[in-house]
Parts: sequence; C-alpha cells; structure tokens
Amino acid sequence: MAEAPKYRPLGVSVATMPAINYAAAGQAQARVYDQLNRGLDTMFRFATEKATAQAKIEAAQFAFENPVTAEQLEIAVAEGRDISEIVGDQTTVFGGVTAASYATQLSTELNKELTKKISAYDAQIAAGLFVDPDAMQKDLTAMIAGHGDLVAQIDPSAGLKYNASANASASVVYKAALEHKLKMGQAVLKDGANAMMDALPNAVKSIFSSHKGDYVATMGLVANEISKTDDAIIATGDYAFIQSGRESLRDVVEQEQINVLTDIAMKSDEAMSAALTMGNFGSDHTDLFLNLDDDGKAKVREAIRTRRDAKINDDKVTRTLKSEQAKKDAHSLMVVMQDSEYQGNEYNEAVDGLQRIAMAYPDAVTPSMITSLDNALDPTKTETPNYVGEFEIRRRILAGELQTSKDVRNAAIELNVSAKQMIQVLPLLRTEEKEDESRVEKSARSYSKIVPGSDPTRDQSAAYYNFVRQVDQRHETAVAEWQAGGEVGPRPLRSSVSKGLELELRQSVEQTNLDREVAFLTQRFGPDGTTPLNITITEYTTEAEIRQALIDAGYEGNKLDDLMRPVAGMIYKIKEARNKRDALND
Amino acid sequence: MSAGGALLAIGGLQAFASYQAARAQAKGLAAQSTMARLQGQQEALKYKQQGVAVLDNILRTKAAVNARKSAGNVDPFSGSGLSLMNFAQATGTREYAMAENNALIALRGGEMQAGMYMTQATATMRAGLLQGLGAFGQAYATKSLIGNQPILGA
Repeated sequence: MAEAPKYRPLGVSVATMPAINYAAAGQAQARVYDQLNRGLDTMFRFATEKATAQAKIEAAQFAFENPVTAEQLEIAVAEGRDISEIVGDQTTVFGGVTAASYATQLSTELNKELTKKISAYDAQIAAGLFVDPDAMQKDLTAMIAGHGDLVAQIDPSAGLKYNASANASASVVYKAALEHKLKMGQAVLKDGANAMMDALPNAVKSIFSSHKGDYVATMGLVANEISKTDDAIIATGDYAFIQSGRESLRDVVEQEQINVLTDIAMKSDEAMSAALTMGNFGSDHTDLFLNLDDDGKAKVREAIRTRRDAKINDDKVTRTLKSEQAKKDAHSLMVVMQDSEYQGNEYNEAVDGLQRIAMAYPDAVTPSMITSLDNALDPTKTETPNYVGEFEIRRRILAGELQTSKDVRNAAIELNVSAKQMIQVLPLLRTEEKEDESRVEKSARSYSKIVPGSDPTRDQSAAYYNFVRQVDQRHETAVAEWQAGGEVGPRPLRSSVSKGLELELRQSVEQTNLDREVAFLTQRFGPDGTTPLNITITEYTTEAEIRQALIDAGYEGNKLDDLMRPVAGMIYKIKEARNKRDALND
Repeated sequence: MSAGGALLAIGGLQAFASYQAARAQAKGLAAQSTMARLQGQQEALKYKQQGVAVLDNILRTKAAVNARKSAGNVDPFSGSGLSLMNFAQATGTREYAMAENNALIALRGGEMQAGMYMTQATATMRAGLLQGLGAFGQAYATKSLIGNQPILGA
C-alpha cells in the first residue's frame, strides 16, 4: 500500500537581524559637538590672547608711570616688606610685566652707578696712576653683588643677566689694572737691567784694566758681572728685551778686552810698536791678548791702527791750523815792524816774535826773510824803487795769481823788486788771504752747523775738519790742473773750492729731504699707497691734481674732505724742501 | 588687498569649502538612507513570497491527501485523511506565520537603517556649518591679533 501524502515543510526559518550601524550616527552627532567645542576653544584662545596683550600694555604703562628706584626697594627690603607689594604679583601677566620693567629700570640705574665707578678706575689707570687690582676687584665685586641681589629680588633672571653684564664690564678694567701693574713692575725691572747693562762695559773694562796676569781670576770676575746683568735681564720677563739684552752682552767682553789693550798700546809710541809687532802689552796684560782667538787679535791690531791713524790725522790738522795762524801772526808782526820806529822797542819785540815763529814754523817765516826784511827797513840804506815790478806784483795779487807770502817773495825775486817794496804790498796779500780763508771758514762752519762763539760738539768738529780737508785736497788738485793748463786765468781760490763743495754737499742733503717728502705723499696717494690713486706723484704735484684724482676714484663729500685734509700740509712741505734745494743754485 | 583682508577671504573660502563638503556628504547619506529603505521593503517582499509558497504547499498537500483517500474509497475528511490534512494545515500555518514575521522584520530594519543614515546626514550638515563658522571665526581672530595701524595714526 502506497504511503499517504504528507506535508513537506519549505524550511522557513527565523530571519537574521539586519545589521544597523547605530554608532556611526552617534559619532556623527558627536562630531557636531566636537566642532562646536573647537569653535568655542578658538574664541576662548583669542579672548585670552587679547586680554593678555592688553594686560601687558597696561602693566608696561603702569611701570613707566610709576617708576621704582633702588632706594625705594632698599627701604622696602630693610623694612621686611614683601617685594611683590611694590612690583606686583609676578605669577600674573600684569605682575610679570611690571616686575620685568622694574628690573630693567633698576638694572639701567645701577649699571649707571657701576659704569661711573669703572670709568673712574679706568681714568686712573690711563693716567698712569697705580691701582691695586685686588682692592679694585673687591670693591667692584661687592658693588655688583649688591646690585645683582637687589635686581634678583624683583626678577631673578634679570639679576643673573645684570651680574653677567656687570662682571663682563668690570673684567675689562680689572684686566687693564693687572696689565698696568705688571707693566709698572716690568718697567722697574727693565730700568734696573738697563742701568746694569749701561754700567757693565765700564765694570768689565775696569776688571780688565786691573788685570795682573791671572787670566782665570779675571775672567771669573767678568763672568760674575755678566751673570748679574744677565739675571737682571731675564728677571724682566720680556722676551724681546731679553733677546736684545743678551745679544748686547755677547760682545761686551771682547770689546772691552780690545779697548783695554788698545788703551795700553796707545800710551806711547814704544808701547804701540811693541803691541803691533810683538803682541806685547806689558807683563800684566799680554796674556789677555794671547788668550784672544785670531779674529780677536786681528781686531785689537785693527783698533790700534785706527786710533793711531786718527791721532796722526788730528796732529796734522792741528799743525796745519797752527801753521796758518803762524803765517797770519808773521804778517801782523811784519806790519808792526814796518809801522814802528826802526830797531825801537816795539820793532825789536816784533823781530823777537818773528824769530820765535821761524823756529816753530819755518814754513810761515824763515830767518833769511827776517834778515832781508830788517835790511829792507833799515832807513840808512837807499835803493831805487822798481815801481814796474811792484805794480806787477800788485796786479798778480789782485788777480789771485799770488796767494801766499812765499808766492810774493818768489815774484819779487823774479821781478827784481826790493824787499821794502815787497813788504809794502804784503798787507794787500794778507787782506786777500784773510778774506779767502774767512770765506773757507764760513763755508766750513755753515756746513758743520757751528754757531760762531759757541763750543762745537765732537761731531761738528769732525765735520768741520773733514770739510777743510776736502777743500785742501780739491784745492791742491785744482791748482795742479791750473798749473798743468799753463796757468791761464786766475789761480783757483780756496774759497771758490769751498763754496763749490758746500753747495754740492748741501744740495745732496736738501735733495734727500725733498725726496723724503715726495715719498710720504706717494705712500699715501701713489698707485700702491694707502689710498691708491691713478696719479704719478712728483715734486711738482699740486693739491688740485690730487683732489681731481680722488674725485675720479669715486670719493666725494665728507670722505673727500677727510682725505684732502692732510694734503695741503704735505704739498707745502714738498714746496718748502724744493725751494730750499733750488735756493742753493741761485 | 591688505594681509588682514586676505586672511578673512581665505577664512571665508575655507568656510564655504567646509559647508560644501558637508553638504555633499549629507546628500550621499540621504541617498543611502533611501536605498536602505528600499532594500528593507525588497527583503519583506521576499518573505511575503515565501509565505505564499507555504500556503500553496498546504493546499497541494491537502489536495493530495483528498485525492489519495477518495481513490481508495476512504472518506478523506475523517480518520487518517483528516489527520494528515490537519497536520499539513498546522505545519504550514507555522511556516507562514514565520515568513510574515520575517517580512515585518526586514521592513522595519530597512526603515531603521534609513533613519540612521538620515541622522548622520543631518549631523554632517551641522558639523560642516559649524566648521565653516569656526574657520571664518579663526581667520577673524588671527586678523584681530595681528592688528592694524591706529585710526589716528600719522
């Protein structure tokens, strides 16, 4: 039997719940309030900033209108009052600004006081007064600490700033005081060392002079002297001074050894001869010489020779000068003889004088000349005057062909002119000679800058005699040339030679001065100068040319004026130097 | 244009852009809300269709029982025939009721989802407006803080 049909279920089941996102809606709504909150936050921030800025302005204004002095604060602190009563509550914006403003005001006020004190110390140091650095540091530190504490009570950071800045200012003057103290100490040490260095040559010379043959002992004493001076030099602590000082010590021993040996050699001609030929300086000092090396020995010999030559030269100059004077004296005495009574007292005294000159200076006057003069002046003798010859001699003297009494005597013999006539023309010669010599002397004095009536210095004397020697040499050469040329024209005068020499030497000096002034201007404005310009500087450069060159180089206004300021003076100096040089040619 | 004016102009643009962005997002959410509602209705229709299929199944089963019993000369409305028909009726009715309930759940779920989307759209629109206002307000505040020359300035 078939199974009866039965209901078959379709399988309907409970549906799953739809997935609905409730959170997203809530989040969206939350975003609205979040956005609203942000907007409000922005407004709050804006309002806060606005209010803060306003408070800052008002606080600054308040602090400006109600300033607080250091004195007020000191009183408040002394009374134990809270500082915030004066400067405001620093935890607020308003109080913070007023406190900062007061701190700034106070720092400025206190800094002024400090600067005044520092300047006072600075001025003392600059004036060279001694300022004790330790006392000064104590004084300034105390002041800065007090000021810093006062400022820090208002605003600690401002206090720190004040301390830093004040200490920096104070450290400068402290450093200057320390340097000044050190320099003063060093100057005292240097002065002492210099004094010892100055005294050292004499001390060493004295030791060598007292040398008695014991070389080791003498050198020990010298070493001791050198060591003392060396210690004094090192004690200065100045590197440059030590270097130069010790360098100067090196040569002292040898130089003084040479000086002492030279002095010994120059005591007499015999001593000099013994020293030069045998190296013998006497029993006491010969070992000093022997202990020198070959170079030192050569230096001793050289020094002796140099001093000997100088002495010979000096003697020669003295002899020449005395001889010249003797000639003049002889001429004067001849005139006295001519003018006085024949063989009277005055006449005889003049003859005696001539004889003394003849003995001492035969080239000024000879005994035969005195005899012929005496004969010529003898009134008992008569002779026919040779006027033609006398006038020829006069002409020759005036023409400069005869310049000395010897020349005149030779001419008188040549022209057969009597001694009496010759004596009559001699004053004419003397005048010429005197004038010529006085010109030479004037040139020599002018060149060596000797003021008439004053005592010349050693350098001036040396320059004078050097000049006269050069005149002698040149005159001799000129006379030789004149004679070689057939004695045409007047005989060269010494005064002409001396004038030429003076001009030559002075031109050289004036040209050097002019070159120096031009060099100064070139250093300033030449192409390689401190202010390089496209201009060639010469002795004829003008102020206008330099101004134009500066303008061409782009300078103008105050800068141009500043650069031009020294130019006028420099150009004036060049012009003056040029005029001095050119005046010599007029 | 001064720097302050430029600030305000930029703030205005920023506000406009925020508003436009919020509006576009709200539009999208509104469209999605409509779609959610349609999806709910569609789901409900599917369940109703299932309910109809259940009713068909009941009738088909009852007809089969009737035909089978009648062919055997057995009264289909008594005995085992009646029992089979009652069973079919009871089981089918349970399935139908379930399908009806499912249709209702789908419809309500779609509506609720659509409501959520609409809430989001409204909130987004408001947030955009506030953001725009905030941007403009910030521009104005910045301009005010920067400041300007005094009216009676030299």
